[in-house]
Amino acid sequence: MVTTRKSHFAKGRLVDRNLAAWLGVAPFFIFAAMFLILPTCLLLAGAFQDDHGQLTLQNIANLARPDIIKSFALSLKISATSALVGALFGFVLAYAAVNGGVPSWIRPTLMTFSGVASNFAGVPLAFAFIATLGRTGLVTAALNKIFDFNIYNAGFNLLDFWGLTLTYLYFQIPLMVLILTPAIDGLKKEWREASLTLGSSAIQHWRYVILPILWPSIAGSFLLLFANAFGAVATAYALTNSSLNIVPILLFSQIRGDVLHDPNLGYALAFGMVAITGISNLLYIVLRSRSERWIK
Amino acid sequence: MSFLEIKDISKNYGANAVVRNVDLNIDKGEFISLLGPSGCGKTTVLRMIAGFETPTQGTINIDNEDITTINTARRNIGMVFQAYALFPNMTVANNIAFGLKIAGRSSAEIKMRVAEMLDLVKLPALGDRYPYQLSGGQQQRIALARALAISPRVLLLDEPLSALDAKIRVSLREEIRSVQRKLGITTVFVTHDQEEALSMSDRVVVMSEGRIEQLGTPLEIYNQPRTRFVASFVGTLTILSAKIIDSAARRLTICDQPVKSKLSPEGKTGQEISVALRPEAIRIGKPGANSNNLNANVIDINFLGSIMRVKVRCGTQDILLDMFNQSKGKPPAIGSAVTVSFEPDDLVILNA
Amino acid sequence: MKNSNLGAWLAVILGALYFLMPLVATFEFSLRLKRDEYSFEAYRIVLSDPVFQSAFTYSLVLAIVTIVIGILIVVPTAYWVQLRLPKLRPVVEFITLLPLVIPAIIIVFGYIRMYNTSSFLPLTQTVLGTDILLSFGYVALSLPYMYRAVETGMRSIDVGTLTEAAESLGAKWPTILLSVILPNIRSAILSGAFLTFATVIGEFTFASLLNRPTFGPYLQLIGAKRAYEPAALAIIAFVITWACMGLLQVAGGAARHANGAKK
Repeated sequence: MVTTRKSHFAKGRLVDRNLAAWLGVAPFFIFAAMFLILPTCLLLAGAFQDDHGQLTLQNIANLARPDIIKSFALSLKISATSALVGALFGFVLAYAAVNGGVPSWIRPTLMTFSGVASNFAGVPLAFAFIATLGRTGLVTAALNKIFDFNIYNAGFNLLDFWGLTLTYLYFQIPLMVLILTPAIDGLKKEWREASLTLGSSAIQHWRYVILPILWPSIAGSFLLLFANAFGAVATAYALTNSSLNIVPILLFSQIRGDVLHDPNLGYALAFGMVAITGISNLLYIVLRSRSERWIK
Repeated sequence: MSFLEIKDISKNYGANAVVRNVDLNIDKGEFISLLGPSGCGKTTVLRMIAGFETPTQGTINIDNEDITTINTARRNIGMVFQAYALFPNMTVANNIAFGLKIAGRSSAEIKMRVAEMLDLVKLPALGDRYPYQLSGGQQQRIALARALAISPRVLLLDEPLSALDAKIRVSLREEIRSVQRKLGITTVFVTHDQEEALSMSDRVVVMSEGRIEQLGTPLEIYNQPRTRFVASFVGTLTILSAKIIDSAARRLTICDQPVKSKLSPEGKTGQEISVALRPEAIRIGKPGANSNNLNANVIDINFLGSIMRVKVRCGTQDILLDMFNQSKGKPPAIGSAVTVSFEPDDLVILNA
Repeated sequence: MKNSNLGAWLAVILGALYFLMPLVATFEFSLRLKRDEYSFEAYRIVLSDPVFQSAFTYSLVLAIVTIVIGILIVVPTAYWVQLRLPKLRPVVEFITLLPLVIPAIIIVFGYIRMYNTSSFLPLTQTVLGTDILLSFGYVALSLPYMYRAVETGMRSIDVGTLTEAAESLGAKWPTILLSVILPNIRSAILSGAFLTFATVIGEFTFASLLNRPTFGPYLQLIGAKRAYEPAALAIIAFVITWACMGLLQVAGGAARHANGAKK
């Protein structure tokens, strides 16, 4: 490429052209630095500074406060549960739509709906679940009326762990469907047939072929879903109005009004969040590249 | 009794008949090719032998056992697919071992068998590689080894060479044939490439629109095509219309010039029939004692490397003929009048 | 075979129930404002609320500004990376994926620390400054979608040949970008724009923490105060998201069509 270009144009022109290219991408890098990288770095740097700007690990150590540990534990529990259930059911749903022998219109419908639902997070989603499973929600009322079964008396609460998890699933499952469908499409019909001619049963085919091939994609998607839930603020805030102290909500309150009474502890909290979402995303990338290597 | 018997099988998808009344008897150790254009039903026949499809009608026997409705997994057949059929998550050795593992063989036995199979396909050093690290040709050899590892009763090959480069295709087809001969395994090979079918098979089945058009040795198929379809599908051929002059005396005319055939044409005097000539059976000049001669004009010459394909016109019909590209012989000039000649043996009379 | 079919059906039906139930319930709920009859009263109240109108308009303008800035930043970058600076591709791709890795709340927290009233660039001091900050924040949030859409579009056309053809006719690069490249990746840009729109229109975290009266915080406020109106708003938001995805598919279909014609 480069050599043909060099032969076409004089050297002076070439310098010109590369300058134009660098000028062309400069706004992007300035933008990324100012509104993405520097703010995050500055924030994370704050996690390692005391009030006078001296380097310290005290803020990180202070994260061991019982209330903060409790919110990390709750956050991890909600994110992991919603990611696990979302990944499993999303996988089953995607597999059913692609290879399950259901009518062919189901697949595009599911894909379009997943595109919508995975973007339908935040405040409106919380409203929808309040209207469905809140104390006066349609399903709550219907169960009460038809089966004389009050789910709230039975211990369910939409503003609780299970309520929030159930709500998160509304965007987690579609996200899983969207991420995993290409991997399921990558399963060749010939693999199934080859394994049949070699004498394997359906269960053996799943155990030795399908699951090992899909495993990195499923695990990777789980991590992505996990990070997705861990960083979500709006849905939980609108649903529980900060009564459920998960990490993003705690951080939200801290930004609003320094509820921790220690700005640097806020930065440490942010650092904790980024560490968790960052690691899960990193593992996701590793797992994805592994599955892509096979499928290629 | 044949080893693999296909008795009057048909396959319909709704009102669409894909395979119609196919009968085929294959002997033990025989290499049979199903040849035809895409959509002719050859793959469906193979898939019915494999058990991926169930025939709408008819039965399939292997070694006197009716397998028509038996599960694929219990048929003990080996199959090689067009491409991408190796399990990507397993090493080459584990791919080959897969069927043996399913069958519950001991690990020592599996290890020995895998090594034996890798030697058979001449890739003894690749056991630890993953499929994505192999070339297409290597992948197909491993696929062959995997299919053969379970000592199948029948080997099915579904266009295994179609996705490969031309050069590898040729070397691999020789290799498949030599492995097949060495093991003496009954083999059914599906292809749309007539060269593959002719060069590899003991017998060739030419199919069209779900039916068998002709079944015969490669030589029979090439030299004595029975139908117009076979004639036009296998090799290059000029199909001409001829008029019967005297059926018993085997005399006809082509563009009003008298010719003789070896077999008697069926039909009345004056009836138009189709005949065919291969380009390599015709030469310019040098008429023999018994040969047929036609006067024609050269209208086009195509240079194809070792040969030159000359198109001559006789009356309103065009005939193709091949000349060797020799340094001394000069090609005829375009527009010049020539006499072309061929033997009565080479004039093929087509039934339909 | 029969069994797996049954399982598939079960999964699809279960999924349909889970996904449709909240929509049905929300819609039913939104119609119940008048005690004894179904009515669209809640929608009427919401739509005629001047606060709603101003919040929605404000978000609409923000979304459009975000899309325009996003295009201005992303298109030249994707173009030059593709054409002249392929070595930068991994770096640029990594940066565009960062907003998926770093939660929005972290980014906005960073803004508040970096651009506060006592900083070198006190953007949060003025309303205009905060609006600018919010717009750029939204550009950052939508960067993954915008960049991926545009990049895919650029890859599907032969940028190099198109550029050389235009250059041989004497065009300079601004002309090339505007009148040759841009029209050819129009549907890709539209895809990115609709995704950006869907992301920005109801966004809550940024707007709330930067204290701007957009649609997202308005929704939250109504949710805390009213009973039936939030359900109506949820339906409206769902319809908007659905419309964006529908338009996205139309744009994507047009792109596929154009590519198909070329092949």
